[in-house]
Amino acid sequence: MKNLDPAMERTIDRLMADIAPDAGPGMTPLARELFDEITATPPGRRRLRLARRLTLPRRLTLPNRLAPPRLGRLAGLRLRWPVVAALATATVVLSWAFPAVDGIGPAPAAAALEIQRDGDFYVITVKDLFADPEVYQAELKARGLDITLTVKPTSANQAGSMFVINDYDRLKKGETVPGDGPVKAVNAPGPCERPTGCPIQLKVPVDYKRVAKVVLGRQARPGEKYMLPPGVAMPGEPFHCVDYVNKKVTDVAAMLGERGVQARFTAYAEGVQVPGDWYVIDGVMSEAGKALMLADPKPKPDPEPTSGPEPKSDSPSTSGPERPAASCS
Amino acid sequence: MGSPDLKRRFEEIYTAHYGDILAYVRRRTDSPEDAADALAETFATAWRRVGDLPSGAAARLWLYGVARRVLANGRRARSRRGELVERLGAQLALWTESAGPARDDHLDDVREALGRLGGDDREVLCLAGWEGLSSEEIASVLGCSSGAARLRLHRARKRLARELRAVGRDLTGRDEHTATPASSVELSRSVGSAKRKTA
Repeated sequence: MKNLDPAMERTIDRLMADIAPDAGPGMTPLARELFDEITATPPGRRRLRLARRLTLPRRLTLPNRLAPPRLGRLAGLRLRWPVVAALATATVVLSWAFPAVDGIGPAPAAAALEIQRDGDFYVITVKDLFADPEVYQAELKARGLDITLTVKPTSANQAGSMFVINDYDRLKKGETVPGDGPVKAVNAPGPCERPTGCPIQLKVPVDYKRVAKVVLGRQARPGEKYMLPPGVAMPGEPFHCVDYVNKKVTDVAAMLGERGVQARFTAYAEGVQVPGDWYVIDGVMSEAGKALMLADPKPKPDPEPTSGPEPKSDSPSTSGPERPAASCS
Repeated sequence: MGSPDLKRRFEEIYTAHYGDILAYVRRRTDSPEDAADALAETFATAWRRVGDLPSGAAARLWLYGVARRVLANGRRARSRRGELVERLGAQLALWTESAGPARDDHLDDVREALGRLGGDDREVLCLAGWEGLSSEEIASVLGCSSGAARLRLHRARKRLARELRAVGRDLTGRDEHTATPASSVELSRSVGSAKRKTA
């Protein structure tokens, strides 16, 4: 191939410039809004999720049941089921805290948490759901709090959920711990669909010397398995208010298919090919658009009503009126 | 540097280069929604890494580099887009509509010839012709040496010339289009600017 002379090079460059697609509208008021939105949270190491900062979750709930051990293991979800099972008897404190969209003005880059002293309590608000876990931990440790936070992928409806386990060290040893720990949730004002309330902050005694573990839910990336798998019947999930327990495998597969969900069935026993006439007794969403369902030859005795659990009367809420449970009406 | 300083610095860079980055992503995406998405992701990344942002003219090249990686990583799922990004996409769609589809510039053969080149060739040619970058600036965007960028650009130009000659395009530079590359880019920007004023 012969070399181009400078004139030809200029012609090539000119032709390229001539076919340049239009540059677009340039700086507009909307561009300014984008700037405000991007800078509404401090810069740092977390990934910025524009969608999450604009839209608060419509529903945010705790599992109304906990998946059986087999479900988690087969789904590749390395949850510690003995611990999770113990939680079934404990009060789980759920907290959703969102980055300030109206406070504006960046906080220091390290301020993943806002921790304010209120009498004998620290009032903790998570300002940055996407901070590294060690940032949370360091900020809590600076107040003498031995609280470990981890972030797990979960469904869009569970994103932002926070599970607080009091006395985690004792729980790990297999001890029974009281469900109601010193950590209290502060509910957000306004209506709430969740039976467990809609807390936005945590209140921790200043002299809290116990060990707690906090798991934060973040929205899974496309194709990422949930490490915090929501029950298929939780609000916002495909089988919310759908009567599926004790239906046959083939029927449930069809029902999920109608909802655009790919089903995988498993059983308590290892290596069992689940036949179509077994009964479905539970299920979780293992990733977006995929459910892992537990089946058994026998129907589940006394299945929970489809309408979900009653509101908890011993809710740890410290403020806000009694709230209605998520209903199917 | 305190946070207000960081924000002020980012604002200056954002204001100075928003139009350039918008043009960059818009020219390399198939839909206004993808362009809005990439634009937002680019500046969100820039804010997240504001401490790494270079000063002066280098900031624009740095932002091109970020936008390039954002586009290379593929667009995010639509469900993950925020309401504002959706609105931005709608605004860009309106802009595209108002610009109209008419193309009577007799340059389709050039577009087609460009389309027949490999992605690497297209990338350097577009950075030079569309963004008006020198080979040194292209090197900065691509993260390679100036020599490598110059060689890539030279080879890409030759390959485009071969494609154009094959379809009978006169490359002697003696036809009616004799503007220099720089003036063509400036003209293109002036047209964009005029459109902005009338929008």
